[in-house]
Amino acid sequence: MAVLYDRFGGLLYSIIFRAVRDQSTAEDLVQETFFRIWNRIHTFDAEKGRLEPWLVTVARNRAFDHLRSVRGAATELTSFDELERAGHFAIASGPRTDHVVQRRAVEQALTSLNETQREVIELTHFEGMTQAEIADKLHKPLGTVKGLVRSALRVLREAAEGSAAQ
Amino acid sequence: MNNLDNCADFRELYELYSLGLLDASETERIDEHLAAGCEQCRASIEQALLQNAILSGTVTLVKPPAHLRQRVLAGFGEARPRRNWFWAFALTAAACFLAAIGLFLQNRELQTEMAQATRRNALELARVADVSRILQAPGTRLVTFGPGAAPHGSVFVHAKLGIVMVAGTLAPAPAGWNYETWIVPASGAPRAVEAFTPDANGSAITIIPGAVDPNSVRAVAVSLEPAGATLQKPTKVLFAAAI
Repeated sequence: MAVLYDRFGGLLYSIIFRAVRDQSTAEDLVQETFFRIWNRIHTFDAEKGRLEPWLVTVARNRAFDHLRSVRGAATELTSFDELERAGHFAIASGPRTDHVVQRRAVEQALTSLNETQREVIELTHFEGMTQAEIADKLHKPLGTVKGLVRSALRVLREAAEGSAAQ
Repeated sequence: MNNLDNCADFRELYELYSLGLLDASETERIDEHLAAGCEQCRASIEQALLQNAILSGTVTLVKPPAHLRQRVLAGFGEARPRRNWFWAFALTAAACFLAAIGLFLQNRELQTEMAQATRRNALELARVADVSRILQAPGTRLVTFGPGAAPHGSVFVHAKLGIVMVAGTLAPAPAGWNYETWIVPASGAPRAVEAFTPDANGSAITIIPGAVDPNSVRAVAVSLEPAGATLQKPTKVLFAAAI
């Protein structure tokens, strides 16, 4: 666990802190994240892929669950339980070099989004807000928000897929 | 339902679907589509999971506080020996974890050790499994108590599965006395739930299975009780972990 913490603790803390914006809460959620990882790490096959995408997802979902709980949202992240799907990350993640290249491509693509597109991606992927919640926050029609989210995701997806194909 | 148009439409939604951020009607449509066994969409979801992880990984890095490392590792008995709370749990679960890391590192020798440890500790593993179900379940809350003092530990609360309390640095109970775990409700009298004996290291774990309304439980407490006493209220409360 020390090896895992030293390698990924900073990243997981950063993701959680970015979402909850409170050091004490972030520390609690990082600890919970490592407990959950510890319980399911045996399901991960190192020969097929990388651990990082899975760990990132576990951390992000802990943060989102917390935020939803604080907001009084009715639903938790149950439709896609990352703890049950470690194998999916193993299959999907591919060689380490691919992942690094894809991340760089996505980072670059993020800078190509307009301000509103970046904002909706921030709200979905870093703060766990639904499209309806975003529409409410930004005072925009739900249909407009859906269009913004999908167009932004399309740009990011094409960037990642394009870099992977090279 | 498994035609290209539908799959292409759904592909636009899978990042949000795997984040749990779609509205109910969209989620329902996708669930129905996936239930039909669409392999193309299964692959798309795997790509969406990775895409989400990549995007989350672009976060600006913030250095975690130095004490967090010690705090996290202490939970696994790796940082401070005095936090080696629960001997049975740590022995068995750490063996499982080490073996899992061994798998991760492709260390076959550790896998063998895990199998041997698992056989030796079959009964303890059953208990660990109960604990694990609560620890790993979505929605489980973690409460720590007595950090830096003795006794100390953690309480895990899941509304449907129950409560796990892990405590350490417990002194042996005096002759003629027993440790007892209590549920302290938000209103009404405390309820005795399980007597226990700490191991030689002063560690203990208590499982209170079954559904529990976290809003109706104020605390989990531990007391010392005279052997054979009628447990109507705690005699000598050692600590209470507020839920």
